[in-house]
Amino acid sequence: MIDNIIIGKYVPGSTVIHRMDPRAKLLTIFLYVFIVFFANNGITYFLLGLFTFIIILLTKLPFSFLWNGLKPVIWIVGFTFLLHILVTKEGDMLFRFGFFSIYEEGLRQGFFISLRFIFLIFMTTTLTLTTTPIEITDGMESLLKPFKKFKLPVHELALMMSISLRFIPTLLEETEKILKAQMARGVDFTSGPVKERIKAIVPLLVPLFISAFKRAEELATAMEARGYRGSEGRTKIRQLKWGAIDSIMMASILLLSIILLLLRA
Amino acid sequence: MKIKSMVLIALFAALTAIGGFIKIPIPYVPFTLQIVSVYLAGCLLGPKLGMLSQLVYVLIGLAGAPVFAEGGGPSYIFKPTFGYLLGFVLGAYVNGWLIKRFQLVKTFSIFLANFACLLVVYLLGCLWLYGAMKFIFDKSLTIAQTLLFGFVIPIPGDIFLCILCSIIAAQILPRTNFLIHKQGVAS
Repeated sequence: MIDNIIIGKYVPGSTVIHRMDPRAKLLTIFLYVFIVFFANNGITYFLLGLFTFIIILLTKLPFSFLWNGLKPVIWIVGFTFLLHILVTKEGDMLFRFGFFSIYEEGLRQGFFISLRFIFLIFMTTTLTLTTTPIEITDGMESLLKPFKKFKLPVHELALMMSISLRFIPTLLEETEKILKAQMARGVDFTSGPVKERIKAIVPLLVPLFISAFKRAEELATAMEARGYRGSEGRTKIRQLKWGAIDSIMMASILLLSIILLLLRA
Repeated sequence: MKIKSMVLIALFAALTAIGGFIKIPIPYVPFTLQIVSVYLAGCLLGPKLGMLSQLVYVLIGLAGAPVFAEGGGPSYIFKPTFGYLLGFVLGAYVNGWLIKRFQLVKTFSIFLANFACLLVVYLLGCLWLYGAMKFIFDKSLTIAQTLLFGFVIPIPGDIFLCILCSIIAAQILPRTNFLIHKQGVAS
């Protein structure tokens, strides 16, 4: 009943990209998401592709990992490609078969839009393949620090994210335990009429949620006993370090943005 | 924010992720229990904490933990289905607000609150679907198409779970000391 989950998509490594500061990676991705929409002709798409390709090469990851990131959305890409080809009727006609005809402009648009989407997926997949969720959380906390002035609970959010990440495996184990315990008592999750099967979820969920409340109480007491009092004066075991490579990356993505702005049609 | 509230938010975010991993084997339309935690977060934690728990869930997914239906990572924002996840955040708030404001305890009245939450989830889901197709893929769907793909096809399983969760919430509510009806929990 419980799916085999991939334990994190992160692939350990020690390449330049792996060692980059998560803050620099996050900023790069943030800018990239905007500049992808600047590209609107052959040369700008080529430059964007080249940049993406270099980053992928630097991670030294096998292409199959990136392909796995693309797989869930590939049908959308195919669907929009077809839609563009079939609906757009501008430019020269390239091909005709009865009602079915393909125009140059439709093909061009469909190709570019699909490419834009594939670039976006590749870039963001590279981030998650080379950075652990905990690193990203730390990076986000550090980047969002200025927003604390506007009453955004940055530190609290980051802490809750870390606790949540830490407890997913624990609670999953607990779920399996409850599942087995209830099966031993005769609850049948996999056969019988649909109504009965849905009803069988009740004896799984009630203990699961109640145990979550208990666990929360214990954890909160443990934190209070150790003197947790928010972000003030708290030291960190994981320190973020901004190095030369991070500055180089920021400079190159800024340069790319300027070039794309100048060259776009 | 109290430490206990923070821990509860974190654990409910984890429970939402776990709900997504549990599949109910029903022929033809196997569905997951993901939305259960959205209903229950609103019911049991109240509007503010319920909403935060879903926000934390969405954030850890975006940070790359594979907790969404198809993995995780920031690329999820570009998926036409990301709106449902945003709907979880707002839906939990609406659900909790209704239950707290009207002091709901009966199964049927909790069901109505859950149903309102479901509608909010689907409203945001459809809006995002429409927007993503229009702005990311440069092709707009018609309103009828958006409603068909984004509402009519996926909703039946979630209505089942909606009824189920009202039963569960009515059972759990009296067993916890954290009744959102009491004051001082959601601070």
